[in-house]
Amino acid sequence: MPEDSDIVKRVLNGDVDSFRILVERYQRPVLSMIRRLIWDSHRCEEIGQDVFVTAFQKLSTFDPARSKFSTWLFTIARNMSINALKKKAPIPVEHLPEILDSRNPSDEFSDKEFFAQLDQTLKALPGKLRRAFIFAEFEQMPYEEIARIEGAPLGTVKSRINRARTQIYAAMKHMKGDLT
Amino acid sequence: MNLDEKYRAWKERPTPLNVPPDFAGEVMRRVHREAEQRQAQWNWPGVLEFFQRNVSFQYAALAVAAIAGLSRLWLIFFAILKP
Repeated sequence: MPEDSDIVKRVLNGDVDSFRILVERYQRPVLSMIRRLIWDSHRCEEIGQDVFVTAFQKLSTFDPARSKFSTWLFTIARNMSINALKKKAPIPVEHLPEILDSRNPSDEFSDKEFFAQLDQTLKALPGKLRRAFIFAEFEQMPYEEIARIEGAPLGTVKSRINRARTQIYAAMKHMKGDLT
Repeated sequence: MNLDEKYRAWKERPTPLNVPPDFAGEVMRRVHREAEQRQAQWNWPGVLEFFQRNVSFQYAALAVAAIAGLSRLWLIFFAILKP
C-alpha cells in the first residue's frame, strides 16, 4: 500500500487520479469527525467534499517533514467545520444524531435520555474544550496529534480534555438523581 | 449501570455513518475540474520565474522595450522639427 507522502508526490507531479486513493483512505474518518463537530449529518457530506477539494488545492503547501498527511487533512476538516458552525443557526434537537442502542430494552428509554442529555452537555461546552474532547474520546487521536491539529501546546490540550471530562462527569452526577 | 459504565456506553455507542456511495467519485469530478481550470489559468509566478531564469529572453524583452522607447522619441522628434 503506497504511503500518503508518495501519493502526494504523484499528485503534485500531475497524476491527479492518484488523489482518489487519499479520498478513499480518509473519507470515513474525515466525515465522522465533521459529523461529530457540527452535529449535522445533512451538511457533513458537503463539507467533507469541500475538505478534500481544498486539500487538493493546497497540496503543494503540505510539508511531510512537519506533519503526517492525516494530521494536515484533519486540520483542514477542523477549520472548515468551525467555519460551518459559525455560519449556521443552532441545531434543533430533532436533528441530533440518532443513537443505535443494543442494550436491554427495559433500560433503553433512560439510557437514550441520558445519552441525549450528555450530547447536549457536550454541545454546550466551549468550542476548544468540545473539539479536544471529541478528538480524544470519540476519534481516539493521540494527544500530540490533537495538539498539532488545534495548534496548541500539548499541556493546554491535556488540560482542555480534562476540563471537558470534569464538566461532563459533573453533568452526569447532576442527571443521576433525575434518571435513577 | 454506574456512572463510569454509562459514560463508557455513551462514548462507545455506535453512531450511524453512511459514506455516500459515490462520495469519492464526486470529489474526484470536482478535483478534475479544479485541475483543468488551473491549467487554463495563467501561472504568473511561473511566468516570472521563467523570465528570471532565461537571460536571452531578458535581452529580447530589453530590446523590444528599447525599440518601443526609441520609436516614441522619433515621434516627438518629428513633431518638434517637422522635417
